[in-house]
Amino acid sequence: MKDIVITSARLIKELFIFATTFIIAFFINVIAVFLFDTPWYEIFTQIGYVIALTLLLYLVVIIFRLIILAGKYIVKIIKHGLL
Amino acid sequence: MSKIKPKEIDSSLRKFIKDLGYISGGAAILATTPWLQSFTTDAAKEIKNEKAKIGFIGTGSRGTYNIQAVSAIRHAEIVGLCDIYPPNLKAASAIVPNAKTYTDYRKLLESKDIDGVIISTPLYMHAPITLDAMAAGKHVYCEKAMALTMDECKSVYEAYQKTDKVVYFCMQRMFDEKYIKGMQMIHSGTIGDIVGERCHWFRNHDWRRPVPSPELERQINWRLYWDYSAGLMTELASHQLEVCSWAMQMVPETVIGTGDIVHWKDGREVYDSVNLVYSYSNGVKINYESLISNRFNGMEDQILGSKGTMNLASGVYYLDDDSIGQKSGIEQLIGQIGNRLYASVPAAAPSWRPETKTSFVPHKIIKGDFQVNDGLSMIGALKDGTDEILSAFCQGCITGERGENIVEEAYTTTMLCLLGNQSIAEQKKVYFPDEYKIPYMKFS
Repeated sequence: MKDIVITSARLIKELFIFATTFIIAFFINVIAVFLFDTPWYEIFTQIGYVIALTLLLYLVVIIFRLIILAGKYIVKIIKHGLL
Repeated sequence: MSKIKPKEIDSSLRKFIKDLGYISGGAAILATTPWLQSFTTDAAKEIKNEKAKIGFIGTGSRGTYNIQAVSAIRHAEIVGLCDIYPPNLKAASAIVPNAKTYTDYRKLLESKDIDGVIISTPLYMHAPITLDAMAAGKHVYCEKAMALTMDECKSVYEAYQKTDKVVYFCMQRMFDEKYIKGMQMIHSGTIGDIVGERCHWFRNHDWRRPVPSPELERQINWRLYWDYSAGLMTELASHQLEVCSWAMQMVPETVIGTGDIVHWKDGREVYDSVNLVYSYSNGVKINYESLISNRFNGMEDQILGSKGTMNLASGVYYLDDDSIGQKSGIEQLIGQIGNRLYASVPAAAPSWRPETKTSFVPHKIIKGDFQVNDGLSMIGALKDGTDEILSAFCQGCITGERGENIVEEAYTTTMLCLLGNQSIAEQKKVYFPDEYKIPYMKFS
């Protein structure tokens, strides 16, 4: 069985993407507090929603990346005349 | 001597009334609940060592509850018991062994040892015994409703006008702390303008009691027959209609209703299901519903305001703003995005979308556990003001001070109940008849 090797560069890249989605989700919560004039402590109390939104955004990014990857793969196959 | 030790059963309400004197607007509150003014701690001190001598007429389930409550009142002594049903009389006598027993209430009324009587008989006997007791010079406390017919109500009211005796009817919500405090909040505008009233009483019980022999059926299951009872309206609705007109500070002008025997088809005559709409002159309506074959909705007295809802039966209120305030900013944002994604209608505003019941943050009116009838007992709710109104009556027997508005409220409420039954029977809208209106009633 072949070992799956996750390089440190890949790990850093994934962590960077995850952190970015977290910051976006956090920022959405801040905007919501501002828009609906709700208490500022919701930045902390609604952290569950922020994490859920982070995971959702991360999933969206993964799907988007998979689509790009699939596109690249198809282009590569066509280019090399493997079809 | 009673086997029950006296205790301060009414201290909570007396303290509540006393505290009203210290708060802003307390005097105004007392002015709107004048019947409480004779029930203060100071008034209780005046009768410290005196005891009202009480005779009981009717010692069934409700009578027994009342006997136990009065036995616990320091300023009362039960000296007479009367019932035509020997097992009930025997059971009551076991609670108060020293009380003299009677099988004819007229004999009890002749006793000079008795200051006041407490009547807990079937409804059809309320008016005759109340009238006889007043004529005999006794103070009178009678269970609700006032009477079986409108003419009897009028006779009782007119007799009350002529006597100087203390007369109470068991309008116990007038002595229930949560109702008093709830009414204060309603009348001070907490829930805005009253736009509707919605009361219901649901239980799942046939209302029957075991009958030892067939000839006692009507005597024991008197609630089920028109000659003895006015059914759900007087037994259940009377309390709730009183609350509605107390909240509105007005009396409904019309009623239209329907009633049927839907489930308990066991030979009874009275309805086991009623739906009525009472209308005030300003268009506000009471929607009343009672069903005794399903208990899902329980018992509620909802006063619907333009800014919120007061559910007096459970002692909580809900403000409209709290339905929004409950949601966090991010929840509202997600909700709005969801609405835009799934509920956009290009041709019209989304008025077609059903307004499913919103969750509100309930606010308790006062602390404590409130109990309502579980539907299995016919005695009524515990801690519902009954102990306090009995205590007030016994105090009145000593001081001679009459409880203001109590008879008037009982009269008004009973009339509304009987008009409801009339509307159901005649299958038409019924107007409050002029000949039965009394000066106390406000219709606009």
